[in-house]
Amino acid sequence: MDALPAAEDVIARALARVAKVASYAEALAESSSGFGLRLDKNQVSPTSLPSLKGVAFRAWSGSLWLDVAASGLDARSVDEAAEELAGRCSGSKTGSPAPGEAPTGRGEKRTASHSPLGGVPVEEQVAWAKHCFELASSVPGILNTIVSLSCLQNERLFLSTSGARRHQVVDRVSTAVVPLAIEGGKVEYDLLLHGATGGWESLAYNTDERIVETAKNARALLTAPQPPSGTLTVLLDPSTAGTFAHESFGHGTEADQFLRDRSYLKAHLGERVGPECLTLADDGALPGAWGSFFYDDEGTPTQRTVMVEKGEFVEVLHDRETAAAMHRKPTGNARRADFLSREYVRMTNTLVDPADWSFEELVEEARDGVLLEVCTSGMEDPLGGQMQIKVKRGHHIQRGELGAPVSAMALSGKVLDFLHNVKGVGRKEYFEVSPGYCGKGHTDLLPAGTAGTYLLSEAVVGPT
Amino acid sequence: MTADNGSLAGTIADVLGQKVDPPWDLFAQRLRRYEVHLSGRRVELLRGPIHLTGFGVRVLRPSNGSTQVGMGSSNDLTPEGIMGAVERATAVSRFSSFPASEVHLPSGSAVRPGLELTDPEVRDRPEDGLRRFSDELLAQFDGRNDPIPSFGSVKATYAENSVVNSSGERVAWSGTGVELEFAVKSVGGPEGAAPGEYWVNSRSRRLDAVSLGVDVPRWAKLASDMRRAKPPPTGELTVAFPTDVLAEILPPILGFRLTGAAELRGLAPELASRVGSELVHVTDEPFLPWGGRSAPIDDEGTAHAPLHLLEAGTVSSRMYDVLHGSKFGHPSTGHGSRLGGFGDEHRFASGVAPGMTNLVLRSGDGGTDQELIAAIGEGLWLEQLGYPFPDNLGGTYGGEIRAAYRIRGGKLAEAVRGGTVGGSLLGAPGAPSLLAGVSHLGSRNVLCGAYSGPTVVAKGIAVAGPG
Repeated sequence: MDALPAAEDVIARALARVAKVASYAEALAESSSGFGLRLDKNQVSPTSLPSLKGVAFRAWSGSLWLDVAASGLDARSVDEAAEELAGRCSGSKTGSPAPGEAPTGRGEKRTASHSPLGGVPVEEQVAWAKHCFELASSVPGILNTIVSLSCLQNERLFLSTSGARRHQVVDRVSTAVVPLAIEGGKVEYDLLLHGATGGWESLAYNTDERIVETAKNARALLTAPQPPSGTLTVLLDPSTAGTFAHESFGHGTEADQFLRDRSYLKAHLGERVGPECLTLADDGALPGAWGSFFYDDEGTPTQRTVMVEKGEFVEVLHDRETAAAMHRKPTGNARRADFLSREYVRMTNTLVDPADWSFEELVEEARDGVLLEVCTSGMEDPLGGQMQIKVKRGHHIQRGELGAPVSAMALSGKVLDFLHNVKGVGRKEYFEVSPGYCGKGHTDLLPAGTAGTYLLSEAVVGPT
Repeated sequence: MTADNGSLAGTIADVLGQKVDPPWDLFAQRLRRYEVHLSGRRVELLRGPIHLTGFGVRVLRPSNGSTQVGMGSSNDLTPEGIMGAVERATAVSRFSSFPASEVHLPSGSAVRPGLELTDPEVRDRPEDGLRRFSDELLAQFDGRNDPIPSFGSVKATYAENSVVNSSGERVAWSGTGVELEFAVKSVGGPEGAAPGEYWVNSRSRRLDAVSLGVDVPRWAKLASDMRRAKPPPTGELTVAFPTDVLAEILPPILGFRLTGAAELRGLAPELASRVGSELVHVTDEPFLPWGGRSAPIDDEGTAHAPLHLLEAGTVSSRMYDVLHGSKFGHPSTGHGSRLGGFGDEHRFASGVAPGMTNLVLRSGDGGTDQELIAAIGEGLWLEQLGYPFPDNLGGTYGGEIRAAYRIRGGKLAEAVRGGTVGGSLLGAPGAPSLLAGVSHLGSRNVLCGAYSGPTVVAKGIAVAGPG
């Protein structure tokens, strides 16, 4: 049952108290709970995920934003938080108006699912994990397999003094199958990761074929040679291309970085940055995708925002304040990691749109280089415009054909050089959304999808 | 710290009363945080108070030679909320299995008195403290046009922690934590080079410039130098890892690989095996003054003490919590740990696993940084990696060089940016790994959060650039 409507009167009353002294105020209440499971050859560890409720209040003081947060939704905690904020806002109605357009919309949304999470018994979840474990561990050389499953329900209610009311419930499921190959003290593993908004049906991604292939890849990594180093032709798999779109490019399109003069991309808005086959977008409304939701934490509906259209850099991501400053509309990218964290401009699902190259055509075009597969991490550099991406494994590409496997790699180089050197983008049939958690810098982690298809370019490859 | 005088955990335990069968334990916290967010030279957002009060309860049930473990956590402190968490923990425990036949929760543990964990300013006057700190930080840029502050935040948290269990253990203590994020940008000038940035993230228990590593002249020089920096060549180099760089590599990997959790998965190096140079001595030190994870007792209520993990590069012991200790016939070493969030202070909502407190790498006789540079002769001095992404399963690290200098003729030379540094952390002598390649250790330890160590010089580190 939804937790927040029951507390709505208490929150609305508290917000009205703040409205007496502030020209604008809003409340973002949150309730989260869920179930997690981790299984390997030694233990089965189901967990009840934290059941947390609370509310953040934000108000415009006349010159800057003020934020407080209450733990719990009982009337006393909520009232005390609002009272504290009201005390700080005293006299703020005489200052400048809150930046940007105040939200007014109302709405009620929840994740669609064929098989809602609450309806799946724990026994069935454990049985699923055991099946994955047994399948992966049946591959010779696999000494253990870690299987994990997380089902999280996040409910948010946004209320504002301008009359907005947005209520949403988002269910997210993520899975990981990690076969471990251990020999002579050397540990290798491969990853089968998946995440989606929705229910139990998303586990269908973990087919028997994919699990066995992941286990075989882990074993092969025990003897895989180091990758070549230096500037190389690189073919990024969909998970790596998506991470490039998010970490390397996307963070530089968060408009708060534009307003701080902290984006290497600012000077290039309106310019051609890549070939016609390249389109990069952020899409918080992508059905079923890991980073999707319905309303951002300023009450704006999520949407698809195309940042690079056919090679031209045309748009950036906004909250209400940056949109006002740049004379644009909010794009539904104002996000709080939770009720304890501040609002920032953040990505949702950041993606490389498919084009028309087949995998074989891309390998042939690469001639000599390396295929990078199974992205494990990336890091942004919004001002410097350098990229940093790590992958778990890959393959040589020699004379236009896929060669032997190679071990983990790190990718670096200048993002703009990488974009200008894009030679091809894969077809729609390869398109995948990978689950991830994105930080603004080193903090405020929240769910963000990275999505894409194969992407061919040039970059510096090194060890990891 | 006290032996529980009306702690939150004690109050919640009173609600549990006789309703829950032993054994169980409970970790509770009251957290309060204030934040200042800066954009350029102005304050863009003030946050606080931000409150979070909650608890995590764990039930442990013997079952056919193993133990069923269930965990539930909540910030609903009503009797219904407390019993709801217990019911969820009990429900999931029925499907759990951990290979320990008997579990004994601690009681009557010796609590270490007098630890330095709390900055009184953060506890008593956090808003004044944050205003003072940010004003002093920004004042260092008064009259400067280059470099300039880009953005930043300072977050100060006060935490009251308490542990109660069904064996009668009742302990409470408190502490503070501060996080600083700050970026300095270099722009302009006749050379027309692209802007340069030095982006700092540091943590301390104290809200003061020294313990947070504030060094504006150094940050400004790095931001400026990186504008003209070039990537390194590809090959193997002798590389110097200052403390703040190694603080992101060594603790995450050693802090897992030398635990009972790694041992259970076959990932821990054998006891008495060599995993590094004989210069390497690493100790887990729970009572380190102002250490990021110092505490009078562990998160299960077990007394802890310094534990030698690596001696002369050889594995000498492993870290255990109650469950993993029981599995391996070893008492808990006082390393029952809950991972942090909301700063490092928020722990009640996470499960318990064996984990490090503060890791201390013993200093050597390599002298000052200048003496180390002279001794290196030819190599690379790392100032910052984008993020080294330590992989605790595979034992590797690797990241993009954000700021570094070549060392030529025993002196710092041109600035380096771009390319990557990476490899394995652990390895037997002769193996290509960071710890096996250690040739010099600086003579002075620096505290970075929950890690204390000197500058480390390692040979044969793989570096990749465009050529």
